[in-house]
Amino acid sequence: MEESKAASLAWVARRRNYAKERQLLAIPVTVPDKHPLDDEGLAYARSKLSRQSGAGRAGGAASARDAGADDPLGAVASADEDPLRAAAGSRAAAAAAAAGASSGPAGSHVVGADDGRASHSGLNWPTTRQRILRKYVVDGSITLSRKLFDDAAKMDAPADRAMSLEEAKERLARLDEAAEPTTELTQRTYQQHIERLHASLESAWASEKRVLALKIAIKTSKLIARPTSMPAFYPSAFAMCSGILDSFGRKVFERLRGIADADSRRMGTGALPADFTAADVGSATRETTRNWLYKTACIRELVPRLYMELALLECYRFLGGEDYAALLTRLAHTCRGVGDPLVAAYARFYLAKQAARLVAGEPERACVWLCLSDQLATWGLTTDEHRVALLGRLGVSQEQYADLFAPPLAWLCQQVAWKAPSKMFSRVIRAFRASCGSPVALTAILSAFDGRDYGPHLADIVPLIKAAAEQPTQLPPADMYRALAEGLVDFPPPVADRMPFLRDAWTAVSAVEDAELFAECAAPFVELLCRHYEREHLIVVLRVVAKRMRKAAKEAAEAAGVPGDAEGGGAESGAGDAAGAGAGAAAAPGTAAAGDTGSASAAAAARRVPVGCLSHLERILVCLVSGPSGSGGDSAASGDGDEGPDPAVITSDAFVSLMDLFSGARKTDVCRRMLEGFVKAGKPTSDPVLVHTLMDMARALHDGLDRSSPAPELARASFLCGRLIELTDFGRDLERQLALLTEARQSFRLLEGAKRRVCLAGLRLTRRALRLVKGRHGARTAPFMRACFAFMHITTPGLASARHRLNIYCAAAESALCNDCAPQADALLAAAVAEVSSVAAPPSTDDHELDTKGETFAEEAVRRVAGSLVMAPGHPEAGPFHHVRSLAEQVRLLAWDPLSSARVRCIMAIADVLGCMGQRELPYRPPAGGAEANDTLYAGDPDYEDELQDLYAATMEEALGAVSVLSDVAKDADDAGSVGEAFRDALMTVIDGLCAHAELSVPEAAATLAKLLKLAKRRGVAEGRLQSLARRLEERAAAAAEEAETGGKQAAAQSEALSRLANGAAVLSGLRQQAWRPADGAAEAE
Amino acid sequence: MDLSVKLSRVDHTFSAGEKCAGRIIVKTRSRLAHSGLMLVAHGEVQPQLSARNAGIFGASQLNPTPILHTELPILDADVFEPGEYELPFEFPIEPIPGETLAETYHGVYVNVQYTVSVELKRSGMFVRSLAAQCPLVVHTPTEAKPDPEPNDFEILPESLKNVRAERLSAIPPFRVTGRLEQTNASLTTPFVGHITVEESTERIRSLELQLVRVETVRNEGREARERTEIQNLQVGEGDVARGMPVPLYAVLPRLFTAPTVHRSLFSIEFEVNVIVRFERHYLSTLNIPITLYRG
Repeated sequence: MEESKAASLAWVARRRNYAKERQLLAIPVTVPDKHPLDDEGLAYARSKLSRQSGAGRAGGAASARDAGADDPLGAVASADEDPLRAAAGSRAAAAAAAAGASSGPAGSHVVGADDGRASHSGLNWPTTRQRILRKYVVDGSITLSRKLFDDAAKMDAPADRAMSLEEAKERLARLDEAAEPTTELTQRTYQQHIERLHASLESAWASEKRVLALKIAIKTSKLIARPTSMPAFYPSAFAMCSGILDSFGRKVFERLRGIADADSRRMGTGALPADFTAADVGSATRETTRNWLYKTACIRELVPRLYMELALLECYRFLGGEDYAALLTRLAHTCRGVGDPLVAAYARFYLAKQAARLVAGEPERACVWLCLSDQLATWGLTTDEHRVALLGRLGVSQEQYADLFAPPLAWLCQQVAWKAPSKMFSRVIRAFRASCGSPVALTAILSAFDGRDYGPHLADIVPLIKAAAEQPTQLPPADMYRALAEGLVDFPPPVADRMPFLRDAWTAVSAVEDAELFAECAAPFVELLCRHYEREHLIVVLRVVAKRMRKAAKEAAEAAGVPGDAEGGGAESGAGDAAGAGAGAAAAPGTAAAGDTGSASAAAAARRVPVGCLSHLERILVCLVSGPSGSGGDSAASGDGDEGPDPAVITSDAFVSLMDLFSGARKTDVCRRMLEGFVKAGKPTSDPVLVHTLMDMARALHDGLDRSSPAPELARASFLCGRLIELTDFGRDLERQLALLTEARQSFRLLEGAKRRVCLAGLRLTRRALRLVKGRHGARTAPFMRACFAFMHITTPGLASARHRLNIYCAAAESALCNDCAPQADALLAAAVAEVSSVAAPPSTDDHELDTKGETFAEEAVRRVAGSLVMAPGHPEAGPFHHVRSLAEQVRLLAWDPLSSARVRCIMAIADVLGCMGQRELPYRPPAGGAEANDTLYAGDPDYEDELQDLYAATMEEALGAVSVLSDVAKDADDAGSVGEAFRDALMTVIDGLCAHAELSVPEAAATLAKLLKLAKRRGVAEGRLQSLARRLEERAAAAAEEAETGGKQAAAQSEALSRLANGAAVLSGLRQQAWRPADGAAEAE
Repeated sequence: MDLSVKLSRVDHTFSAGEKCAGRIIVKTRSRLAHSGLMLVAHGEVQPQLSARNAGIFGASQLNPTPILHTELPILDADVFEPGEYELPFEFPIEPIPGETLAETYHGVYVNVQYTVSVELKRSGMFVRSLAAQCPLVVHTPTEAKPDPEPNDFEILPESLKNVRAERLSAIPPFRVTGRLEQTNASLTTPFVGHITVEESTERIRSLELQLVRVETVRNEGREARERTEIQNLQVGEGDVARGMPVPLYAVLPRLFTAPTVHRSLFSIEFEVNVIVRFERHYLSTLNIPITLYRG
């Protein structure tokens, strides 16, 4: 009976043993023990690559699989630092270590070169310079020696020319005067003068007047050789002049490099390498270099000579044999000759800056430490009688004067502290205690070192701060505590010292009058408390901060003279609803203190908080949301719990009222940053109140955006909101989780990525539910599951991308099947099938993909849906194959490109799924407890089999029809070009499909396959492809022959037919010259 | 037609006893007949007339003393075809018998200079000989390095020579100490030491290290002596911190220095002055003679 049926049908799906096939396909994989992209791994991979190129690729594939093992999105979120920056950092550290290890001149100047980039110690000269220029601004006039103010052009005149009578007279007159002639300059004219000098240096250099350029540079350094009449301006003058000196030094270096390069090319050794040594440099270059250095060495005046030597320091690289460490030590000693402490401090600053470019590690630290210790040791000069009298005459206060030392001290300290051994801190503190004691220096020291260094000595440092507070300074002692707290955040002090320290420090901080400074000092304390102290202390401090901020807002409002009425209405968005009530309440902040959150008063007050405070407040809020182990640092060192943000803090009235200080765009921004903090901390939370607060922030973030917002902003917001959903974990309370997802769906309308994550979270929820009930739903859980799938069905259409919709529908349908929700699965599958047409013709605007790819997507989509259909049970009324039929219908209806093989591929995808469904046992199915699959539902049902075979036959006919259409088109083009390629592709797809799923012992199928193979051979399919096909057929024939030995007559006949076919294919493809078994079938096949 | 001479070293510097090597380059676009190419290396000590010593010595008595003279025939009479020719040469730097070589030096009273000149002799009507020359710098290194002989110094009001004892009390007390690491100093290495203002009630304006050269010319029992400041480096600017050693460091200038020489006709000697300038326009100077040698 079966025989006859097979004969009547051209196509019969063959039975397959998937388990065995999979075994054959399995690839032995060895798991590499190193990541191929980390440093060692890279070297490893490279060494492998050099030997055999294939190994690298294998490693790459393995790494991709490794990465796939954990959540790739989570990995992105946890890599909070820019990976490139981190890599650069480690490389710089490695370089520093290398340079430190190799003592001697050759190794010590490897650290390159451009001060435009941040130097290796994390010090950045351009920004430091800008900060100095911004900070030290004066509005008085600066007295300058006329000689120094003269135009550079005059210097061009030959010095030994005869002096005219007038000039001689003038000179005599000048000699008569006791003092030098001077000019008065404002800061602006001074700056213009410097710019003019710079321009004349450039032009002198451009016209090859090197000596003039040198003179201009010397003149520049003379400008900073003595403090001006206005010390407050000296730092800015230094910053300006150092720019010229840098530019001069670079020019000389580049010129020498040019000569050396030309030399090297002439000698035939190629271009001068970037890390050249003196050995690469010709004698002509060395001679020129020596000339430059001799010129600078004989400058009479100390400070110009020092600055010129420093500017040309890099040129010593051409000479070699010169030990930079010794050179820098000598120059550091030379700075001692500078009597004025301010000039000396800045000269040391410049020395340290230049040293950072040339040496690294211990030699660098040694010379900078020398500078720092000298500076600390001579601190007495800044406060001696002479200086005090002088400052008094100039009208500069001691406090202002001390503050001028802040930039050089900060720089020197940071450079000394960079990766310093722990004893360095005690050395610095000893030097400080011995002779300095200034709060400016102490702040610099404390900022430069971190808590690891001073944590253990906290009890000793607090008295130092107290003592230093007696000294003149512009900053309150709170600033020192601030520096201390910053360092302690990552490295907590010993437990016993924590409370006394907090008491001392907080007393000082709360004594600060200025709101902005208070906020700045309070921020690190909040972070410190959040990380290492008890919750009660944190809340107390937060309350104080909130109170102070409200007070500041109130004072500002009063200062403006308006207790917030008219402005209340018209101001930024988000406060509009509060405008009416704002008028009265702002004047009575007491009500706000009572925690009436989001009230009008707070909203109105927000606009009055000094703008400078907001960034510090932002930091406070972000840190609170990030939780104890949030912002970087090693959480192991903190020793505290690793839970996320503390809900009690987040929901405290202080937090809420701090939040309320923000409004409008600023609020959106702070919400974004707080979410960033939470996401960066990456700790899942289950606290409903916390989640509620965070959702509020996410909503504020979402509401601050609209469709016209920049794409990166939307993407970032999407990521944050999505991650928030992912990080929310209510454990077994799945209902709550679903409610949250529903809420999220409503809240994040604009955010495509967030919506997708919500959908995926929904999917995960269904999976988890399945796990929790151990695969079997009861009366209580089943309705919940139905609700879940209803949620999926409602949420998914909201996604803009058809591909995502389709994938999520499919995944949801599969999950529904596993959860025994067949009707829901049915609806989801129907939706997925309907989605195919939109995937194939994607609206290009939303998907960011090109239309031309639509057809590739179509095949992908059809295969994806077809895959899900395998385990979908039939419909009681519509029949077992109604989804397959409608999928086929969809494929039929799509507008296909007649010149592409996509249609054939899609049809074959349907043929494949039918082949699968014909198996006695499906290759995969819902687990026990899930929906029944067709192989159980219709086991042995002849109608099922018949329908399947009919459908399969029809599909194959359709595929062959499509191929023949394509064949005609291709013939017209002589099988050349893309059409020919498409045709061959379509042909081979059909052949492959036939081999995979058709029962080839059916004569008609065999005949068709043989025909198709011949066609393929004729129409130019690559021989290799045919050969591999032939090999597969042979394998199958051999397997069939084995079976035939035990099987009956029918098996033997099948084996016979197969081997005939395989043989024919082998001969055809050129795998063998002639038939290996002289069977009569071979001729027939051919 | 072009004739030039190039020495093998960029700085033209060779030491006594070494072989001086170089190339003579002849470029010609037409046939160039000549009657020989000759190289002459010549060095001499040239006492110099200046306004200061003009009265002491008569002009006729100041003849230069040759100390090196080498003649080296390069080519006999021949013809250069058009083209460019490089003719290498080499000769030892050795004094005229009975003389000793002195270093190349340009001073106020004395010049010691060496030249390498070549001449392409040509004869005939309207034909001039071609000549070219280039300076040669000769160094006379010392075989055995002398001991550095460090010098520790101390400057006190009492050590001032031009102050009468009874006026001593009017000078504000000060004490400056220091050390020169070598009074026998090599020309090729920096001159180092340090100076410390131990105490001074008067504010200090500047600390300086002055290098002075003393040239002497002798002739028939008469002697002319000239001190010249050849370098003055400020090592301390302003009222430097007390008790903190400040480095004395000088790279000796190439042009104005030479090894210390004592000859019958002339001598070149050096001294350093350590100068402490005080705020109120007075200064104290400590003079320390030094010996320079080429190491």
